[in-house]
Amino acid sequence: MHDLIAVMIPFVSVATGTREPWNITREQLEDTIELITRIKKEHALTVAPGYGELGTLFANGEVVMAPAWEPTSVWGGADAVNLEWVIPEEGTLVFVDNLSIVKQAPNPDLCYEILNHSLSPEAQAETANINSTGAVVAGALPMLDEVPKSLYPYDDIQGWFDAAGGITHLWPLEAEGDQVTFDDVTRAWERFLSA
Amino acid sequence: MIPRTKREWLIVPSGVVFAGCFAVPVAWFLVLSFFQIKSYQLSTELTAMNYIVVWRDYLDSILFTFTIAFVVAVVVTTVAFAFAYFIRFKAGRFGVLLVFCTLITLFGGYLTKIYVWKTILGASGVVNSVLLWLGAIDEAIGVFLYNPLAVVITLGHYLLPLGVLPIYGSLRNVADTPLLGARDLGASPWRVFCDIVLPQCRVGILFAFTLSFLFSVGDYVTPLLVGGPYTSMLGVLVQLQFGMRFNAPLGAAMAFTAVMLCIAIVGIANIVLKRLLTARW
Repeated sequence: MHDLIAVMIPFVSVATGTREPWNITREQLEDTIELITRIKKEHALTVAPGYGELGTLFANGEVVMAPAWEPTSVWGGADAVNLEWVIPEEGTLVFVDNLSIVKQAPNPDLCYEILNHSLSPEAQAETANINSTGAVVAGALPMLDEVPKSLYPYDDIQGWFDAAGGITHLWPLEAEGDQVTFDDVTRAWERFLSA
Repeated sequence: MIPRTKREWLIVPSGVVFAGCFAVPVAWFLVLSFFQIKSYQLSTELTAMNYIVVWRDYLDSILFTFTIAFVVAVVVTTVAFAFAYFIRFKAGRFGVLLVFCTLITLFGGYLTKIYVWKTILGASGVVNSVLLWLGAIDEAIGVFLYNPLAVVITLGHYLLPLGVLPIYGSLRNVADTPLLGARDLGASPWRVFCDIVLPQCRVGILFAFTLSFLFSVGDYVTPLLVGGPYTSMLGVLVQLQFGMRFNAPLGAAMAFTAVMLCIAIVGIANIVLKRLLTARW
């Protein structure tokens, strides 16, 4: 996947064993790049440019395994290979999408209205049913279709977060000691793409 | 009729658009390429460091990109010449129809053509289906897609009409009389081709090569979609500078390095074509 963060965070943990993949040394970064470069050269069919494209690859049966996120496992449709998602033992990327209101927003009341609407059970269920993504309010659960409901362990959300390692941080913008920065990681990612 | 003294003013609107939408932004990017990003802030202290970084860290990608682009340009120019030659000298009254068919292929989006080739070359695509049907293979094979060859095929297909048209335009200017005269005087078909036809369509060949070469150097979508793990065309990395690393000066330096190399290679191609396609008499 051409998704630096989604690939690097879990693979740093796999390559180095750390549960804090955002807090690593240059040596650990090199180990990670070496691992994913080896996987790319020896096992990967392609580096998919997006998750939609990955769904197509699954649908065509061209790939059977990929680092991805939960909905990708059903985006391939009924003809795709039989897929299940798993969390690596070492942990993985956990993120929460969010919406922000800028200070200078001319219509903050309308912004709050949109935010409140997006958090309503109906809007959550509609979004989850269309995209097979997760719903974040309990009231949406009765309105979920079978597929999006089966994708996420709604009966043990906390256990799911714990297994994945909790909310992911990102690499620091400024160097602190031997710690790599976001720019170091992006440069290393370029080397991976070029390898 | 517009007086001669006022005709020059006709160029003003397009000149303003060109300057405002192209020349000024490009000039700004050239200046930007000599700045640097420090702690995600733009430092306006002039330095050539970005260009040093480009040659030091991205040489492999530059070589890969220009090799692919050169192969695409040579293949497109060769096939386009053969097709344009056929239209001009062999197709007779069907020539116009073939030109129209060439133009028709320009319809349809660029992405559509990429996905067409994914459909043809993919594991469940036409090529694998035919080979399976013929019994040549037992199961679908993945060698046709996700490699540099697929990039060359896909880009070549897209660029072929852009190669055919300038060459055909040049060939149309080749008059029949000198060709017939040369044959009457005993020149072989090969000699006529080399000494009369080729020298007169040199500019068309150069245009076809240049168009396909420049487009291939700047493309980054095709390698992403059909290039497989080999996605390190320079365009991908330039896009990363702007979209992921927040390093516009380095991205600008990479772009200008590519532009300078393109100018050099097209200049060399012009010199080589002048030498090769000069009549020997």
